[in-house]
Amino acid sequence: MRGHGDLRLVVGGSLLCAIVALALPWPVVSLVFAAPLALFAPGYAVVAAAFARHSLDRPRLAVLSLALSLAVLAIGALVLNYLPGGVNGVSWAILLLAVVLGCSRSAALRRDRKPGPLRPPRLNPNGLELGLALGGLAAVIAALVLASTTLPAEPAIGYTELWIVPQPESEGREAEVGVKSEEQETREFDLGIRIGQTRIVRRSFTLAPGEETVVPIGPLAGPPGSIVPVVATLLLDEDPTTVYRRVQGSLTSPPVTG
Amino acid sequence: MGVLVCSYANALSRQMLDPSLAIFWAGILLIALPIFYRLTSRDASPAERLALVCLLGLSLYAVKLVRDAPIFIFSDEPVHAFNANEIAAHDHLFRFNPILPVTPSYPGLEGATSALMTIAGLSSYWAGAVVIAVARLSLMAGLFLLFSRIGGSARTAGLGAAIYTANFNFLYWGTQFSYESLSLPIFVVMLMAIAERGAKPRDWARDWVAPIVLGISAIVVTHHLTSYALAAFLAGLALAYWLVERKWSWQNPWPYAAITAALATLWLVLVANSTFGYLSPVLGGALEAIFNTASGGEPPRELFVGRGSATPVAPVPARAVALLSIFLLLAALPFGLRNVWQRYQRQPFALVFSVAAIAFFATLALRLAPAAWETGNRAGEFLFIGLAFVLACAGLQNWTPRRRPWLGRAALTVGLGLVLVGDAIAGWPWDLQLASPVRARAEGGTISSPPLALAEWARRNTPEDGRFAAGIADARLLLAPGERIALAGKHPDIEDILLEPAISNWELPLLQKHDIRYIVADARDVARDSTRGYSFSTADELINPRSTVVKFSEIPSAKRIYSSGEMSVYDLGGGRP
Repeated sequence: MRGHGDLRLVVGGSLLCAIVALALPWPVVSLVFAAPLALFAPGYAVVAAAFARHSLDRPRLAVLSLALSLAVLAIGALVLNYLPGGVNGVSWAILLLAVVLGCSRSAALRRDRKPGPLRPPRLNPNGLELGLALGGLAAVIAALVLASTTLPAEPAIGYTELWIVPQPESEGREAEVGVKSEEQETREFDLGIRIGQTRIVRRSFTLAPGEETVVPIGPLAGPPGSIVPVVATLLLDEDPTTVYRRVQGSLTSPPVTG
Repeated sequence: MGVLVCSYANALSRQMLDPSLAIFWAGILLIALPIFYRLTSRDASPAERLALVCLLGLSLYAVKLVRDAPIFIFSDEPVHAFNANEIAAHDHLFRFNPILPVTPSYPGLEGATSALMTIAGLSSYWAGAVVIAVARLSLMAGLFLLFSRIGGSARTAGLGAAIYTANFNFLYWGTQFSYESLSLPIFVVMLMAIAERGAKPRDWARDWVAPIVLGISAIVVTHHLTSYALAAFLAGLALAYWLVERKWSWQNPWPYAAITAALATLWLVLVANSTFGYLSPVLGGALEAIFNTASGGEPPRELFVGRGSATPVAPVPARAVALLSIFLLLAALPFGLRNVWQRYQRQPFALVFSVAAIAFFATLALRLAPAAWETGNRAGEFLFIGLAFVLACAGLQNWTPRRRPWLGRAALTVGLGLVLVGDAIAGWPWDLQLASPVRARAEGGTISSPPLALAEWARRNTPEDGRFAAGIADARLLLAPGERIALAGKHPDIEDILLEPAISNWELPLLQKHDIRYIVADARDVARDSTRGYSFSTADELINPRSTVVKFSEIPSAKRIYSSGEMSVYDLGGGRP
């Protein structure tokens, strides 16, 4: 690809982007490298190969590069689906590099003229235009930050979640009872867990909005393999006569071993 | 600044302060009017016009982003996000989707999104947002270059692309993370490619083959309706070429029409045969509704009224603006058609665009037939491309009265602003123009809406293979961000299981047949609404009878393992925690 500065830039840049994007553990920074690799380079290479003997003007080249990159991604997933390894980050990077390299090589071989040196479009903004552009960018960033900010919503009705679920890998011998406050203000709770007919576990706690507490229960001491019902009842400390939430499950006694 | 104003309006709405929509529309106009006015001028260069239409398209997309970031809330978005998550998690396409089973058969969007998810480690939300943003950029630039090639005028092209942003679905529906949001931009770029191919010397024709076939193939694997629309458009264009030239010249795009039809048919038969079952009730229902409404057997659909009695109706001024926008489009049409005929009667693209422009108004009639509304709405997105070109040729910008030479440009700018706002009102429910909160700040902590909290709880506490039955809004959030399989709606008939006051004989076998382990019993009436059912409850919320929730306690093996007040989860799997 000697003499084809654009193709060398696309191939070299894609290789660099693929390595860095896969290596970086921070998604947002990784996107800076993944985006040109996935959303521009494949399309550019396809256009370069297709129009090796003619040259498109810059706007058409740019639009086709973007749209055909999207097309390569849509079709590429289909190709990867039937290849060993399937659709994952490494296989995507290899496929995109293969498209870029293959099409660029084809373009270099078929071109009957060397393109002029790559020149970025000339932008000569005056102070006002530059200020407006930077101001606009700042406004968009501010808009996105505002949109991502969680705000108070006082008319929203708060509530509390209560659940009972098995502990993973315990085969029903252990469980956890969870309470998460989605209330608008800090509240005091009384949790009663009745295990079988006789055993009762009580907890009193205070949860701020968004806070969660989990009470583990089990294993049971009882006849092996027996199933015991469990009922968890949540009361609000301010209204202890009314059941606020109630859930139910069961525990299994461990089998006799040895 | 306009995007910031829109973000501010949404921030007020997320605080449930009931802000005036005037703030939001002011933001939209702040984005659009300066661009419209500049596009009407004779001074701007083609490069500036291209930059302006791209800025317009991206800014209006940013309006959608600042509405709900960073969570997918539009009705189809969780469905497609689930598909993308499934691809990233399991390394393969064509996995099961319980709510829209046809969507995994068209994996173009989710496949493309998976590239950014897996290479950069992004969530499906941000990866999808980047893909749709690039698609929007392609759409706007593609429209500009298409119109520029056909009309031979950058001024007409810029106005045409700007007019297109006023179609009903541009602001919201067309920006959601859904397959058409990717396929439509590629569709436009393919039209641009066909137009360029026809305008270049013959020895260029072979150069266009690979890009066009690649684009067509991408559309075919991305979205059913867009591939059929492309086949129809190219067939119409081929016919227009023949009518103009009376011979099958090399410029005639009939081979591409044939390739599109062949690929779409092959994909439909070999890969996506569930599309028949998905589309036929929609299209069949639309035809039936048209007949019934036209024959008086069914009352016409009320405009500006959402589903359900609790849905607010657009106020009179908003309806007036929406109707005025349609009137303005209709009023400009004859002038546009006259000019197109005078200038471009030998230009096949312009002829097809003229037919599309007229057909657009025919689809408006479909809005009066209840079951045909959606068909007309979706067709409008494609037909509006033609309408945008025709209206750009109407020439109001050239009206320069001697005393006020700016009047034509100003009138066009104001008219475009009205059409942009009016069509956005007509294309999206009035009460959903601004965001509702799904998360809120309280005493320094963050709380989530009931369906979102349930979805997050399910992701943390239920097995990956545990299948849910839920209302259609709850089920969507269970798909994403919940990452659980959730069935909803009428096929299978989960809706009646959830709504009936008592358990019937047929229900348990149906649940067993579909391997349902968890039932989400939600007393909130809005849980059945896929566009509104995601936010917090309010004091005036409609609640279904308690019997619709507690009836599941009658199932012998069922245990209520989760409760958040109006929402409960029953475990049918033996109740063994």
